[in-house]
Amino acid sequence: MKKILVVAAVEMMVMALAGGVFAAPPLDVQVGVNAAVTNKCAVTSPGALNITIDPELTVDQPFTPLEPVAHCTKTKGGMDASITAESTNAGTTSNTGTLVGSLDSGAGNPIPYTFTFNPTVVGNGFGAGAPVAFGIGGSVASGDAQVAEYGSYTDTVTLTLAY
Amino acid sequence: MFMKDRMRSQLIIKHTVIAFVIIILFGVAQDAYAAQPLNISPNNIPDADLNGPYFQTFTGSGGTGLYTWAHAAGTLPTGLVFTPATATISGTATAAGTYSFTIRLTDSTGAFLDEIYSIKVSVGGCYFTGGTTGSISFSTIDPSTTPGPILGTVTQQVNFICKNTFPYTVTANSASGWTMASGGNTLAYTPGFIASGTGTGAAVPLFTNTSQILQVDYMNAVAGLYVNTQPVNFTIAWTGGGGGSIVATLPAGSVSGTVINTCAVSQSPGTLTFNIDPSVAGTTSATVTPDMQIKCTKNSTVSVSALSACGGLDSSYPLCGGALIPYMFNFLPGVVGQGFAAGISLNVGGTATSANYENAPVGSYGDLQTLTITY
Repeated sequence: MKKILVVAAVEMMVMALAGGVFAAPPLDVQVGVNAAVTNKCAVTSPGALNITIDPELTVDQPFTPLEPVAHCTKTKGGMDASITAESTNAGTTSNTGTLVGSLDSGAGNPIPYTFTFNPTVVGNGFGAGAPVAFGIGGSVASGDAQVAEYGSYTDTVTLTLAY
Repeated sequence: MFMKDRMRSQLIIKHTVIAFVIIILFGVAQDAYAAQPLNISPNNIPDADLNGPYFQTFTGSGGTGLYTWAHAAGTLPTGLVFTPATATISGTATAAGTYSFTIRLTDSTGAFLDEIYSIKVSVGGCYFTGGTTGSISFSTIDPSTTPGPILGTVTQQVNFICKNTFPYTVTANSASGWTMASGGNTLAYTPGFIASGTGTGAAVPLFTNTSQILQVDYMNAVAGLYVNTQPVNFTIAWTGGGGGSIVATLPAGSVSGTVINTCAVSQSPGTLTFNIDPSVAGTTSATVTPDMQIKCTKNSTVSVSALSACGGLDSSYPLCGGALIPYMFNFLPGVVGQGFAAGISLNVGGTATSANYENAPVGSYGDLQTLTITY
């Protein structure tokens, strides 16, 4: 048994020598890797506000919001994306979270309404289940609803996210 | 009987010891009071070159009083004369041949000593002062060496002396050309040696440390121990006095060098830069510009491994421990050396998948990949 061990040791030495005779030491090279994750918001599906105005009601009538689905990059310091809303019919803009818009039927008797939104949002990234909440809402004041004519009214509100 | 013989042996031994001591004392006493015998040195004198200068001095010792020198008999070479006042032979030998003559040293008592000398006058030329075989080593041949050439070192020198200010030239020839071989691979070289000169009578080293292998020859050499397989002869030929030649040799195996496996970065890699738009689904790829290229000993097997400093793109880089975006660092894990004429691209790149960056915080990220190239 001892003899076999000795032979094995010698063979290992020879192999080590043979491997090292013609070889220089390994070479190390460093590669720098940089990445920049950009600030980004994207709306993946638009929203809508619907309301059926009942002129008989004496209370303000809220919209039924369909929240648009948007995603923004999560920011380190909680940097917000600011939102500005603009009513196409009324020509008004707001970045405070409240916008006075105008529903128009085309017949010349518009219905004023209040459009509410979150003026700032914090990104949560683009992963599933992390959409930005715009906090869309709105209502038509009861006084305006009571004098509204029959018809179908629309307005387009453009939300601009600055980030 | 036994006892008697033993006593006799003891007596003999004792008498022998006493007699030896007396002889030694007697010898010392005699040397102290006797004159040394006359002596002339040197015992032998050098031969002379035809039409070359010659000078030889004799010295005497022993005897009594002043010495007198004389050319007692025989014939000196034509052109050489003995001067008794200086005990010298000088002049220019002008006729070839072997000449014998006697130089006499006489002391003040009239005692004299005759010494017979011989001078051979022949055409002067070149001769070796020692061995006639040399060796040259290129030691380690790194094929990445630039710009070259790689010089060899004389490990065994051949020295020769040429006389008579005759011009000489050295020519080299090799049956296999100027190549060393390792297995089936060859490597060209040029031996460094004195090409020509004029005899001065002083020893001249034949080989110089200017043996060389050009970059164009070693840059694509395969690793291995290279030796010359055929002897290389160096003929030292002189003109004048009828001319002549002598030959030295670099025997087979006496020119050697080892080409090593090595790699060098021929094009340093740029930075691998990801521009990650977290809204992009799927993957974001990055490439290194310029690409990383290496050159390695021809036919060498090269393996490449990579080690990430942070284990991903780290928002705290160069520290680690911040927000981490895992990514794939891509490269060729193994290549075969192509020599040092052309670089091999390692195709360094990276890929990050949206699942790993879609929720990543905005900001700068970094990592450091260390590629270890083993050959």
